[in-house]
Amino acid sequence: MLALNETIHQISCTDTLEQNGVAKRKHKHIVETARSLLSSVFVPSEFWGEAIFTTISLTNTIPSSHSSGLSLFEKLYGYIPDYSSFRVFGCTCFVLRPHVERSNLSSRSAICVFLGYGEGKKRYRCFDPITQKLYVSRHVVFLEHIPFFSIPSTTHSLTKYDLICIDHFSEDSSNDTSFYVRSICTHNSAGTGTLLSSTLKDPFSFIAPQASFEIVDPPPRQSIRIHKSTKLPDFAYSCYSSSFTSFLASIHCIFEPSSYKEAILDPLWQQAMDEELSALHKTYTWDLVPLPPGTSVVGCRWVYKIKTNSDGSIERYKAKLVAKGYSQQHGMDYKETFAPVAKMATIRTLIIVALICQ
Amino acid sequence: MAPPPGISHDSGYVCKLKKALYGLKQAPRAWLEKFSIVISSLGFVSSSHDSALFIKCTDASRIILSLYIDDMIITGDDIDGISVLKTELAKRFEMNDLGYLRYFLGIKVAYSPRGYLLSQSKYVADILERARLTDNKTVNTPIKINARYFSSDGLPLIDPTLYCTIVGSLVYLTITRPDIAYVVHVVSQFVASPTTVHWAFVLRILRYLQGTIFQSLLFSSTSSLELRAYSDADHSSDPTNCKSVTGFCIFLGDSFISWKSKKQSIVSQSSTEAEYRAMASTTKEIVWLRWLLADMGISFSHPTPMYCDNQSSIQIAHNSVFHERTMHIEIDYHLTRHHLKHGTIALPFVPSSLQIADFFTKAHSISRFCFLVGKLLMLVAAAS
Repeated sequence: MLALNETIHQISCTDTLEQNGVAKRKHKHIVETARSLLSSVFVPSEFWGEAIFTTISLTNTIPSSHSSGLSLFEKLYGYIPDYSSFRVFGCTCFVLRPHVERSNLSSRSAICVFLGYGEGKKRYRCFDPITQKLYVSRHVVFLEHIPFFSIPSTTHSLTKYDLICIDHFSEDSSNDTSFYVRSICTHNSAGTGTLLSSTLKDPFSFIAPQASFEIVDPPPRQSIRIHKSTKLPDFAYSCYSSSFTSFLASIHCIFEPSSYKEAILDPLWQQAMDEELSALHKTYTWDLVPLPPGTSVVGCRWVYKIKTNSDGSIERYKAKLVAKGYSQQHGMDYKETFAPVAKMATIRTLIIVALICQ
Repeated sequence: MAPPPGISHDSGYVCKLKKALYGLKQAPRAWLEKFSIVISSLGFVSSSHDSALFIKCTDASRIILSLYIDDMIITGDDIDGISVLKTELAKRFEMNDLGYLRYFLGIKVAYSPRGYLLSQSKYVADILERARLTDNKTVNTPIKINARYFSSDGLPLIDPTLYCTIVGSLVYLTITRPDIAYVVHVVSQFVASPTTVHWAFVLRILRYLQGTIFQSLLFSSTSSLELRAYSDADHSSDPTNCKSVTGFCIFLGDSFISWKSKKQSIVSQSSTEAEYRAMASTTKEIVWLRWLLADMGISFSHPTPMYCDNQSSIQIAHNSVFHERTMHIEIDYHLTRHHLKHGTIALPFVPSSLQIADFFTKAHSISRFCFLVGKLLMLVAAAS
């Protein structure tokens, strides 16, 4: 067969790896990528096989500068692979249990770790460590920002690191993007950061329009349909186990509220606001008067901030009332402004004079 | 103001503010007024050369307070007076005494036997993180030699916000990093409509900063208290409108206190003219610094040398003969002549190779760049 294709068959000497440089280099690349995949999301090394498969499918679909910006997939099939079906390796996911496994009353999905892509058909390989089962399914809900093996079993082991990982349960999707990027940076040691971001091709355009919580229906094999995503506006705790729910609840009280409506629900913030108001009353900051005709009102809002000590522990909850000064008009509401700002040259001069005159 | 949520009130009623509240446009001004009343009752006078500098001067001693909104530095030779001032201020305002100067406005002040080291390394790290620079590449100089940037280069950025914030941060960083003053002056010209080429340039600056993150400015403790200035200009360096660049730097003893890199507002016809305009702006700064130092109790009996590498502009300053080639130079640029005559400044010549202000007018080769950075007494402090 080789002779038919005008290929000369050569055999290298035993124990002389350097004669087979290309293949060895490729092996090294694959193993190293797989190792960083595993270590970046704390996946135990017994899943090395899955990591290797994932690595291969990723390297085959990532555009490469060696093949003039095309991916190997594209060179072979002539069309761009569907990047939207990629998920973060090692993330938490929920797999719909097959009919045989579930009764009417049992839970319909199993919490699993995402371990790669099924061969051929569009499907995901997910492993449930509790039942020791590997599911190959396309009915999967992903929580891509939570590495499966970073979920603590109890809330006692809360560290700052966990907070960064899971902090983006705010419903504001614009925050999610930045958190997502940061979590990529924190999870991956040097070297793998580039790999994961290139997996997503462009992390910003890919993540931005969606909430971090999505239900994905992978497209059938032949179509190039854009995947559906359903944003869930309200976050339901009930879909998690009890330990995870309490963990989320413990994070929730550390969260800085962005509006009065959120803050009033929490007694800690309420107390902080009472303190600020009583301080303002004590200094007679304002009088309550009827609005004079022909004048406009400047709005105000509460700003909430957690003051931390240098070791990261909470010093106090601070609520501050600020006026919305941006709506003031020059000449009407104020005449002159000035901020007492020292010139930098003055500060430098002062320091030198003080130093020399010591 | 609308009543804040959380207090009970009748509808139709509003809060009539008697005091300034955080966020109002008047707030900082009201604060200064209040602070001025308190501080003047303690015998301090605001300096007329920097309104945020307050000085109390008696026969024997002098206390100086520099205010930056709500942060202040207090110094002086009267230790008892300072502690009295601190207790008085603490009575009127809720404030913390942070002890000796360590951090001020994000600038770290480190003490060493040779003097003080000023650095903003944490701020640099913050900028690098904000720019999402993930690799560890570094470059030796912030700008390629002979690089020219046009406002029309490249494609416009889709989202210019990041460019603007990074450039804004870099402007603040120049407080302790005169080595990027020139490049920051270049990149800030494109803030209105940044393009991909300009962003690549900003990234180069960030790579330079990444390699020199611990570089700090040394204020030597053994230097004299003499002012000396260097003035230079780069004639028609702007590729689009042929305007020249002014660069100057002023030393107090060995320590570097003031510098500028700025495009001139008027096109100059000759390099002499560009130098002459640069000399005028340097003169202004020298005059101001002499006044400021006089406020701090240091007066000068002899003129401040302003080193210049252009013989003919020195001649113009010395010789007030009306000349065909200088007839169009505006009267205000002849400020230099006035101060030269009155003995505020002197104009010695310095060869171009030793002209330090050259640093602020153009891009340099690596060896020249390193030579000039050394001249500015910029040191790499050990990571601490």
